[in-house]
Amino acid sequence: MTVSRIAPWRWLAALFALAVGLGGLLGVASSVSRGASLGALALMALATAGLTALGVWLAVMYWRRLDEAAREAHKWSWFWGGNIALIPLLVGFFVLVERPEFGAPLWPGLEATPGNYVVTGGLAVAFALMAGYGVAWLYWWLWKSR
Amino acid sequence: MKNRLKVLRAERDWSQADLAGALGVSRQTVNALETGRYDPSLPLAFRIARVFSLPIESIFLDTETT
Repeated sequence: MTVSRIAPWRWLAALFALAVGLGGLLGVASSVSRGASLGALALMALATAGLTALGVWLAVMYWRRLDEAAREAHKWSWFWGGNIALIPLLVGFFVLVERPEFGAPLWPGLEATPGNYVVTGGLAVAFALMAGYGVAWLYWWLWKSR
Repeated sequence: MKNRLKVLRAERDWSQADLAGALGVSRQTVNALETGRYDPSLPLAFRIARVFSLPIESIFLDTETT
């Protein structure tokens, strides 16, 4: 089977599998990095960079195999889903700034360090954007009409 | 933009998959075109016209002038 004949969903599945693998690699790396040598850290960084580059390549192959309506759905969904998802985030940020007595949320299992609060905030943004994109994408394919 | 894709397809007894194959797009794209969710690009509009052997104006209705 030539590369050009591989269905788009297979590229997406490969990208998802790579993301899971990369997440696992980063998890292992973070747990051993404190006692690791400089060479081992460099090796982990190289492996991460290589897998990330592979992920970008898979994403490009997936995008090239999509037809124009599917591309339009993705672009529309990222714009509208992403922007609308920011609204509750901004409300949450405003509440946290104006009412510090509520206490900042922390991802379960993380120690209360500044870095982990940043990680929690980043995860909140990522999940909100993905949720907004997912809802918008479903809406485009199932209900949207001119 | 309204179009007559579904009518033209039915006249030729084609399924959405048949038309999708002829146009080189997915069946979901044909569905999106027929339900008005998506307007085709110029290259795709010309391909549609070639497949049906009709001018583009007789397939896609310019709602701004009607």
